[in-house]
Amino acid sequence: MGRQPTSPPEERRNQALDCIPVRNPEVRAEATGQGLLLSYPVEVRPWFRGILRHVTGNPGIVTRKLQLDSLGSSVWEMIDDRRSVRQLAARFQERYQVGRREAELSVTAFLRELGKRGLVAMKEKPGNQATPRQT
Amino acid sequence: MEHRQIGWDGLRFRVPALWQAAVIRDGYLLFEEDSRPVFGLRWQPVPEGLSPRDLVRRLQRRGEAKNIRIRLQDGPVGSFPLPDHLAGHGFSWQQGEEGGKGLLLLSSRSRRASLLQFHRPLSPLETSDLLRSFQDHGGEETPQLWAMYDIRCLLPARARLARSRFLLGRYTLAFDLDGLEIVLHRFRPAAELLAGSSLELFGQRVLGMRSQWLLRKEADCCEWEKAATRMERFLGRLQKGKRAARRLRLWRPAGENGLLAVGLECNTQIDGRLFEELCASYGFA
Repeated sequence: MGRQPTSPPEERRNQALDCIPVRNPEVRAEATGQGLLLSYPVEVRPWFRGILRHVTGNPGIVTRKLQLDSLGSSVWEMIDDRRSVRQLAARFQERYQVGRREAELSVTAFLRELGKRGLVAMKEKPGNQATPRQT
Repeated sequence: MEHRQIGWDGLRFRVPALWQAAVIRDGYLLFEEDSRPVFGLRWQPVPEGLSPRDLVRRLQRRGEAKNIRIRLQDGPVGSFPLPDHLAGHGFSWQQGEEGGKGLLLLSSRSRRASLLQFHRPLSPLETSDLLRSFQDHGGEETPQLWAMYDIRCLLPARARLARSRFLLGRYTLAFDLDGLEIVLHRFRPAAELLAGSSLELFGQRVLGMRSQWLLRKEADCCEWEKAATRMERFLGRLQKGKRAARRLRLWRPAGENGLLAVGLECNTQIDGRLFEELCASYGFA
């Protein structure tokens, strides 16, 4: 009875935690009173690009900003293109004395949000696969 | 052994403090120990007239279709008495490399069946603690305990969980109570989140409160209230789900490096008594 199971969801979670977040090199971080203010270029939608180019001469790239709070800023600073999501979560857990699972869930949710905005990409752990992918 | 009280959707039980809730879904909880599954729990209403044994047999039939082999067993019910309102039947399951023991519990109070799956052999003490503490209060009209991770709160029985979410330093549980939204927030660590700021500013910046709604301001507690105008109520009826009346209390419990907040949102008048009851029962576990 009771062999240690390794269910597919658990494997997927472990693989996700082993991924390495890589910062978008075009993101600029600036310290403000509340934390880091991230500025990043975004391509406007194709239908709007022509209008923007015609009116302003802009080729279709605008700069967006994202204000991080102190916790978000500390996780952003931890991303060094080498540490895995699991290692970042462990550091977060250690620094802020939260539960392990809470650290994993919250750091993962934060990285997912950054990924949606194109601020980070995810690289497979060396040895698994080397193709970076968007979160 | 240190234990943690869990309260979720009418279910209450105690688990070793090392077990952490890893998966929380509608009708399903999975606990892990050292990153490995240790205890899973599923629950759902079942038709009347069925015994736990009948339900395990149903499981057997369903399991065959998914290549899961389920066998009826007497233990661990035989050696550990259950609370009066529960009847149970043990089983074992095997699916490929995976397997373990389990227990199907049927509550006479809620007419719900709970499927307990043990992913590793539990010690007699662990089994005993879990089963003796297990209760199913679903369907009762008394306030229900919601206790998960480091927070606990008593909510009206009709409150239904709408969402549960972790963000950095923040855990949020939102419930729906007949169109009223109840939101419980927990922030940690307070010292870091409040550095150079105040509760009032934190409430404005993070929880979307406005200075003109401020009702109460103390060193360790702030409260905001916004009543809905007639026009807002009318518009709210037109736009289903839009809630114009809001009340929120944000406080820092003494001796804790965390912040708690209770928020109510509805399209009519906020029930002040319910609000006070929620604030009184909400706290760190």
